[in-house]
Amino acid sequence: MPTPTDSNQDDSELWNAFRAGDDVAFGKIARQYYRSLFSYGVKFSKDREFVKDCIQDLFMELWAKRETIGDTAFVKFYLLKSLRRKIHRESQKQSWLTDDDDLDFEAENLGESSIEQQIIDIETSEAMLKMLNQQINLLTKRQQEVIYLRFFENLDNESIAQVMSISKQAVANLLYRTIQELKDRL
Amino acid sequence: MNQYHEYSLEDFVLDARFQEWVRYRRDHDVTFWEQYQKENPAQTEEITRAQTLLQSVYKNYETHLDDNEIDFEIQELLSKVRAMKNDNVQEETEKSLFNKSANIFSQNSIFWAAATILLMLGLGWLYQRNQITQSSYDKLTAGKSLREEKNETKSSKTISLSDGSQITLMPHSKISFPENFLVEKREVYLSGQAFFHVSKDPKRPFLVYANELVTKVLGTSFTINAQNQALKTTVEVKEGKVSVFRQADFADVKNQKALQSKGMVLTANQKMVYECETSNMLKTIIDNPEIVSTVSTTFDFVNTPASEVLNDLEDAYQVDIIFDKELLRGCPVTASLSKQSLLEKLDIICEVIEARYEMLDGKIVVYSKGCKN
Repeated sequence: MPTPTDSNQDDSELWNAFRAGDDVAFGKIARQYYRSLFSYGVKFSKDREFVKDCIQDLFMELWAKRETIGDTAFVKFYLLKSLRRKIHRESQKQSWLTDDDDLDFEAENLGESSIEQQIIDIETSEAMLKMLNQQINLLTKRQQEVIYLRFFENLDNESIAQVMSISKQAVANLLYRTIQELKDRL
Repeated sequence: MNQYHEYSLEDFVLDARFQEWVRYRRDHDVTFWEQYQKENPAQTEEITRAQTLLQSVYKNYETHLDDNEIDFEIQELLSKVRAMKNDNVQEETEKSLFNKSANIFSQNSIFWAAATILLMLGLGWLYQRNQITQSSYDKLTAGKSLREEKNETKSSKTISLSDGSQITLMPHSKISFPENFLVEKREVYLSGQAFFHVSKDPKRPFLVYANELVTKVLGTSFTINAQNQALKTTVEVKEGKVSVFRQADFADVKNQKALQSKGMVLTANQKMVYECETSNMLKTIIDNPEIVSTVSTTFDFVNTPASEVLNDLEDAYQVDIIFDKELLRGCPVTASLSKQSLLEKLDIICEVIEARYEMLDGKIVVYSKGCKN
């Protein structure tokens, strides 16, 4: 599983090509961020097709305003934030029966035990992981989201603050508190 | 030399290199961390615990997505983009349509009142279009096996469709639809005005053909008002979301998804004006936006940063307001704005903070120099 690297020479060339209207470059960029976006998106909606549709819209919007778009450094968190907002809006519109206050962030495969084998292979006991997983699911949605963005998407606190629309200090506090809680349960 | 010596569990789990090791198990990372643990046995326990913590996070949030699935989505995206490139006029529209979505600073917490889309499709009879000899309604329904309902009375008439949807047909209006809808979509043809209660079925979009536009919803309630041979057609959304397409585009593209790039998405309190002559679709804010949010807001502000005030308005009215968050954070607003309309509220806020606003492309842009002096 490759990690996107946001700031090397190739990337900025790719980015410039995209801004100049090169659709192949655009495809590569979309490819680069797709997995991150999807993975984040399905935490809010278990409907994978719905999430894919939202991502399609998101990228079409990115394409539409490619000429006015700025620095590549912000792309990832900008996309994550836009996706979050979009999913929220769309799901509010679709689910006219339920009227949730905020997005529910949760692991999509709760209860399943299909895990990448490599994770278990490490010297930790599976029982410990299971136990800790239960602990993670006991965290608040915000706590879960903050550790996801930090550990999974490698966003810094500033970016997380932007994505979640809270202050940087709030992110730092939340992150610290969450790690403490998990640590105590280890 | 070694930055990790002072590290505790908290530091390890937040360290990018440590995360990569736990997550991807790449050779060079494995070598590095095994070596490190050998050299620093005192930290082994912290490292093991940090590792366990991260592993459980990764395991818990792992998402399974085939590369094939991604490729498919990217292909689809590119075909839409290429279709768009071939249509420059449309592209211009799209560009302006989306030029705010970049506003990463706008807040989002949205409390949608989910139930109702009220969609007004109003028409200006500014002048007749001579070139239309046959109404679009007649053209569209010709040769199709459809049931037609007319309302020649002076009161509204309710019609039930096979999918459970209900249509309230206004006087001097008519609507055609199949007795049984297709498996993949529900199509109706309207001339005049009608209120729709569409039963929810995301797999089977509900399409209303009226004049030269197609309005698409997945299920909700809305009103369309469309007479034949009008010069301007407007679509107003009170709540929720609809997509509007030109019929030409709609017929053109077989792939439903490729179509999305051709249409205009309208959300709450937005209006689209379609000019038949130029085929331009222009997005704006409806004349008198209403509060959409179900969460009641008092709009009583005491020394509240203008950025928060505008965020509250965004949430309540579900319109996009573009402003410089950092700048307006320094502008305190004290006002009681519960009684005013959205535009009056904006007038007052802008007055207070010495800013001005514009309607642009269905969004509100607030211009300010800040309040630091």
